[in-house]
Amino acid sequence: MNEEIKTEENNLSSNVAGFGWFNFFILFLGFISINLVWFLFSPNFGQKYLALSAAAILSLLAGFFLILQNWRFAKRIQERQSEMEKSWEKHTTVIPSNKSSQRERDLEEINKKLQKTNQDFMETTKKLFERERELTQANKSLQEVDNVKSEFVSVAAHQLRTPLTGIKWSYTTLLEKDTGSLNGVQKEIVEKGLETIDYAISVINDLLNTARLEEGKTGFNFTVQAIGPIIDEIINQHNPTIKEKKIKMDIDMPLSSSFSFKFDKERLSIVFDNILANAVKYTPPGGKISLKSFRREKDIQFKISDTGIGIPKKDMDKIFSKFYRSKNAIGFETSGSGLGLYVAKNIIEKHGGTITLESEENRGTTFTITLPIS
Amino acid sequence: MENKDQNKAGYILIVEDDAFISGLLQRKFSQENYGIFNATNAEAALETLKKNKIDLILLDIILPGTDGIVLLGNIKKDPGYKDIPVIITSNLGQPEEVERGLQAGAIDYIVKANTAPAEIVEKVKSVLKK
Repeated sequence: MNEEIKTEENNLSSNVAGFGWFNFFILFLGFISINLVWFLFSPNFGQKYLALSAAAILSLLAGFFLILQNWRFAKRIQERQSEMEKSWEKHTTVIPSNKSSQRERDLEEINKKLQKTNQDFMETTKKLFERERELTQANKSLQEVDNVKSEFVSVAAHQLRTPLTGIKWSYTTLLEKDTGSLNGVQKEIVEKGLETIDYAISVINDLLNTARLEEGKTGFNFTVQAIGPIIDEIINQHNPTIKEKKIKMDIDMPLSSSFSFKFDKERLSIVFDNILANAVKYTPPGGKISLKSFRREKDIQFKISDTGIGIPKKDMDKIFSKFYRSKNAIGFETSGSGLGLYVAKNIIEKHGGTITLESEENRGTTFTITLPIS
Repeated sequence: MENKDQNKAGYILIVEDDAFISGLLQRKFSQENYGIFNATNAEAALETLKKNKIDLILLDIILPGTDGIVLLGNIKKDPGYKDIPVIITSNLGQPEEVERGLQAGAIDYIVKANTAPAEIVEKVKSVLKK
């Protein structure tokens, strides 16, 4: 189609070019020149007028011819233009044919499908937004429930601890002879009372720690810090009982205060406190507890061993379970929530570490805690 | 300032709403020659601070009305009191509660149920020595 239009355009151009305006102008100049020569060199005055008249007639004829040609040229241009327009209309007008109709139908079909797809997409997007809103709302509700639960656990622990604090401080005041000396029986009763209160407080603490771990509280605060002073402080806290039971301590922990790695101080303190408390509790008077640390390339290992009652083989795989206490432990010491090791294992695992044990009944137990330092 | 007894080891303000616990603490500190002031709420604590020269504050968190953390914030904002060391003594002991107390400006956080009055006295002595 484009080629045809181009051919017609070329034809029109060649017609215009072939009109010969320039040639005609040269011919007219020629006539004028001949008449001028004739007028200048003709001796006869009458002939001069004749030449002038001839030149005037020729000019008139030439002018008439030019006007005529101009008119014809304009007409031809108009005709060509008209033809061009017709030709253009002919080529641009869509002439329905079987092929183009099929294509049109196909295009319409595709267009309809696209519209349908677009509509489906919009509906899906809308549903997704609604779903997201619902999920956000559900998440918010869960978060609120979680916060309420967390607050409840916290307040409950506070409310339980407060009266126990009153009783505990009363007993300690009596035992420290702030109100005068106690006789042997009174002292024994108060000491037993204090033990019971301490047990109740430790159960509350264990329950609180367990509740927090199980509600998936992300409250772990991992910071780079020195572990040595923390372990020293925990040992110091147990020193009164260690001294009382005349337990020999073998501490080999070359942990300089500059040795630091990333851990949660509060949580790791709970672990070491639980393990050491068990060692002190289940080691008979005159026994031995050893604490050793080994720094390795990527981790640090702590071994806490005692010469206590040990754990029967059949109980060893359950010892880290919630509320589980081995039978020999119950017989030896009635107090104990059975949560300490469960909490310890959870905390160590949250640090990316491991806690294992080796034990022999009536010989002692060794807990090995491995924590990554890199 | 009303308290001018130079023989005292120091003046302690105990902000505690439980009269029994507060009484046991007061007894222990008195035996160690400390001058004691007691306040059962934040307003009374600020009033005591206005009238007396206090060396250290033992502060409970759950108090009637304004809680201990808010009171601690107010103390730390006041140029007249901001340098007084504050030890929180509470039975709230969740790590985030401890963190909140220390961030508000307490120099230590003691969970009362896990300690004894004698240990609190030792802690106060070590702080006042510094």
